[in-house]
Amino acid sequence: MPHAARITQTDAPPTYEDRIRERLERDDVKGARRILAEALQEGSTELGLAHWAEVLAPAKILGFRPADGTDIRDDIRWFDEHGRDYRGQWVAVLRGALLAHADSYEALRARLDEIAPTEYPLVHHVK
Amino acid sequence: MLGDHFVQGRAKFNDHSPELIEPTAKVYVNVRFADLRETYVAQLDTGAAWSVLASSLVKKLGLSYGGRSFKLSTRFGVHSGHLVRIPITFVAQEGIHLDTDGTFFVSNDWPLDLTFLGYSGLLDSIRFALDPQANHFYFGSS
Repeated sequence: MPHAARITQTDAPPTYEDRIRERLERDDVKGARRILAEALQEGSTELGLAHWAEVLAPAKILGFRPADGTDIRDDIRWFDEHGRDYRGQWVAVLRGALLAHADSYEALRARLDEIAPTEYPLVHHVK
Repeated sequence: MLGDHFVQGRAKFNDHSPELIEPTAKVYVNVRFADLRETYVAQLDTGAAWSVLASSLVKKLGLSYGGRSFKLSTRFGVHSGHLVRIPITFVAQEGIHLDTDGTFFVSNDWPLDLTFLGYSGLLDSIRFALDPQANHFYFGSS
């Protein structure tokens, strides 16, 4: 009895997703976007294209809010001068001064919730 | 200045971070993510194809990602991961913050707890400028 011919996976044409990933791995973002546009124009129903359409799209401006930021240099200077004393700790610094520290991010977050600072501290895990 | 509306926000930048010691100065800015009530340091990297999210932020933001991964070559090695879309705020000291969304590469084996702000899907959609003598980072919608 003759065996049915087997079609190997390599005979299948690459999917749009395969082609997009191949372009991305070459840092060819324009090429990936071009293939996505081609797929959408041809009405492809290939699974996964919606995800690529989302992540390959330009960023969208969501809004604006009044500035309340602080000087990043003050906070990083604190880590330069005191960071070594807090190795392994999660640390929150605000306006160049220590606000809170803890062994875990969850513990630090709980401490910050207690303190309820009116500004957003710089958070960093000291190595 | 060519006009008052070239950008809407200004903040100081720093030339190094607490996370990564590098031989040359870089540009580090303050950013916030989604609804986290914290500020983080991120490196502005116009030479990077994609932004990369700090390893700890993936967990804090509760990101789940599916689909097929791809390999991204970075100066910290080749890493397999996914692209995700998340809200990010460029934090201003003067003017206004810029809330936008951006595409970030996330990888389980990313070795740094540091975020990089890359070109595609983020910096290519905003207007920004640097004044290195004053350490000013200007930004706004394009």
